[in-house]
Amino acid sequence: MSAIALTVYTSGLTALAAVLLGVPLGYLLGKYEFPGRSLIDSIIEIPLMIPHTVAGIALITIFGSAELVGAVFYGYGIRLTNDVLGIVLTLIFVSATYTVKQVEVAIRSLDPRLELVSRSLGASSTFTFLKVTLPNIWRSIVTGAILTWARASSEVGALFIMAYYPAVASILIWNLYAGYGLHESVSNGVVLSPGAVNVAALMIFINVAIFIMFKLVQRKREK
Amino acid sequence: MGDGIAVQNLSHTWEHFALRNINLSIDEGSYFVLLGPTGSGKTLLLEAIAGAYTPNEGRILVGGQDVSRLPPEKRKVSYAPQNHLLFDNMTVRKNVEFGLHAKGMPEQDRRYRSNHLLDLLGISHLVNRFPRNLSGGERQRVSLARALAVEPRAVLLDEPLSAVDAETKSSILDYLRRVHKETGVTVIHVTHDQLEAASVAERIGVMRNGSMVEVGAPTEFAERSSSETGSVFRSDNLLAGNIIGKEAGLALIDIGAGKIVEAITDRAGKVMVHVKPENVVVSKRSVDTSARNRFYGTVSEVTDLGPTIRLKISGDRRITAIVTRRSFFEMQLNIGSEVYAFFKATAVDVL
Repeated sequence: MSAIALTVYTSGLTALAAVLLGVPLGYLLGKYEFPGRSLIDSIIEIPLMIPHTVAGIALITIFGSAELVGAVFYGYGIRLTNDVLGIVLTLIFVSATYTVKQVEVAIRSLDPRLELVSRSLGASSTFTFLKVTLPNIWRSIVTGAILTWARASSEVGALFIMAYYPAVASILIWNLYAGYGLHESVSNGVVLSPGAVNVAALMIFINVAIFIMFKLVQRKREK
Repeated sequence: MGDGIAVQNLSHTWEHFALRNINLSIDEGSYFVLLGPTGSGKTLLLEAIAGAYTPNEGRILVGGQDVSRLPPEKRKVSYAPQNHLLFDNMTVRKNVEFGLHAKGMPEQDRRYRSNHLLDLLGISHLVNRFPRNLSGGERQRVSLARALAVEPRAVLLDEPLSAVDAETKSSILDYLRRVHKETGVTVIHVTHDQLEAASVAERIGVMRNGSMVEVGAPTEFAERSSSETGSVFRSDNLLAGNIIGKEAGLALIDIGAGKIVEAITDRAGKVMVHVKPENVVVSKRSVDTSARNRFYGTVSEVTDLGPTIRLKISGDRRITAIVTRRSFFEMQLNIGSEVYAFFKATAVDVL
């Protein structure tokens, strides 16, 4: 159960971080043309195109405790692997793309004259974003966050390499399956495994419940 | 010039288009129309004034202040874009009060100011509606009220009559005249329609291929179009006039040179009148007819348009008529033929 709670927690944090990072980045990419824009766009799409074990290798060569960035943090006692921070970092890398792309597309499809009208009426760029832009793109932000969250909660490949422990549900399910098979395993009255299939079913139930909850909130806001 | 809007040596280059050395001076409180075909750069010039981008060269002055590098919110010019773009997530009232809200004006003061404009534009009954439930004409009036609410130094109207039917056009033109008269705000109105320009403008600037090619009052353009001085402003039978009275329900419009045109209108004072060339009937004799307007002159130019022929008839005023090829030959018309041109009072558009 703690692995499932950890999954929900880290996926939620990832979705939140994806919104905080993805909205400004998606806005920038959707609104402005600047040198290097295509390059940034491509880098953001890379996690969608590579095997996630490769993503894990790429991350650990940067954030591993003895590697380039990881060593700096480790010097301050912060481990970027095998920790909640490591899990979230990994999940952001493999799943935040969905939020960024959703926001980018929404901004591109928004008539740029709307913001010009608002500002010509004396509204600051912040007021314009909050009152004009955001109401037009919030559905895309929510959709992006749901996709990010869903993708994050199902991640396993990159986590195997970057943050195997503490085990999130997807890794726990794999461990149970590999160690004890599909079903519950009991030896001398001691439960060795609750059964990979049972944990998987619980995982499906919780994910679907959260997904439906999001959708209901989204639909209510649309009304 | 000091208190109006001035554009000085403005140039800006995009990948496939450029605005070239534009100079313009618009008096405070005047109604200026930027006229040009699609792709002439008039909207881009309007957006430069609104602050959508900083031009490569040149300056834009609003009230004597150089605003070329100021963000849009510091320029005090309200922009009303084409297709009556409203904030769809807000009611009509919130749209109109948007700029006042952005400036932190208390709700009571906002109400007071917006109520006046809503009344002026005849949209008070729409305050709680959302834009998706408005017609094109209503959206345009909301857009105009929203632009005026912040009491800007100028309002920039991009094709305000696009996407509305003919009847609504006429009503919006009336609103534009009324609003301009009452508020005294400087208006820059972009259009591709010469008659629309002539009907509201105090001055017109004609753009072609990113350059300002002519600037003048509508009356000057009407004179030029009828005297063939090479003006790019072409509108046959566009005449400047002055309504001098009414007789049996018909307005008597003095168009100069001792000529009076009779038309049906509620307008008063100075107007522009227009008659479509295809509504002008040509005869070699002065016949009795129900048409209230009659001109006499000599055919001075003949242009073959295929199934029809365009005739320019020079007399006290130059009149253009379009006749069928068959009539042209049956009447044995040619350059130098002396003819009468008739048109009905109901065929006269008073702009």
